[in-house]
Amino acid sequence: MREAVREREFREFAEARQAGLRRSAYLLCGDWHQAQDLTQTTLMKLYAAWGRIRRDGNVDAYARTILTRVFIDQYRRRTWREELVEAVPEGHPVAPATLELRLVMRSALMELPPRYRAVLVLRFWEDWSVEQTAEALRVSPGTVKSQSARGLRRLRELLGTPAHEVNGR
Amino acid sequence: MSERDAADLRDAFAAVVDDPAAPPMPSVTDAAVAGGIRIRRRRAVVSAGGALAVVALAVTLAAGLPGAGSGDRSEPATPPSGPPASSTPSAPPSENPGRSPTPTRSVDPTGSAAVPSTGGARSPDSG
Repeated sequence: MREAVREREFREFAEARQAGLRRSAYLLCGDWHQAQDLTQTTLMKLYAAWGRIRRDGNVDAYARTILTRVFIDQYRRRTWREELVEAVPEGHPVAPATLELRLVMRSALMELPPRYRAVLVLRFWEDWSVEQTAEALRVSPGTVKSQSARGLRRLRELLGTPAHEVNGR
Repeated sequence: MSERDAADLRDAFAAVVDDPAAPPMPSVTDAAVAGGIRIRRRRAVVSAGGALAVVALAVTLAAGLPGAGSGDRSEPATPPSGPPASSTPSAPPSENPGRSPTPTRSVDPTGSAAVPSTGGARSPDSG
């Protein structure tokens, strides 16, 4: 009975939040299929400790922390599981300017070291404080500040260059 | 970093994730539940194995302790240090233990002939 309640609660949370988690994962890894894998691994780990996490509260923050740690661990071990897709899905036609901005920004983001990327995503996408980011990444607040500054500087350098150069890397 | 810069960065992130070319992704909830249950089972097996290993180690250590299993032993387990004390000095070992004792002479302080104290061997003076 308790197990059934636990599973129902988790399913509600997972259905409501997995799209957001996938978007954050995409910012980290730059690939939708890898983002899907990251989201699944994150939710799996979350469910394994669901009782404790639910008791502690702030499940969203736990989920984001797990996602970021899983990303860094997997990147370190380079264990991405490659999945073949049957056909490349066709998207809607996009205005060239928007498309270019997206491609330039995505390329620039992927140029950053994974840790810098994680710091920037947590600080400016998830809107976390320096302390929260430091705890999630298991580093000191000073490290978060320095990596954040370096990541932003590098991003500016990359975005300051012409788009075709950034894309060509 | 100013508020404006942070807002710009956030907009740029939004532009990246609002990708209309993003492939449609199925829900991962079922897979996450199945995987989570697997992780919990594995953890339970590992912790049970760890507990068994601790118990086995404790039993092994208890069985291997000196004095374990001989509770009525009154003597100390280790001999006392230092040479054994004896009340009578032991005789020095003889060089030829198979032979009879060599006759000894007792010397008379007055200078008279020596008399062998044990028989079997005659004095060269005795004729």
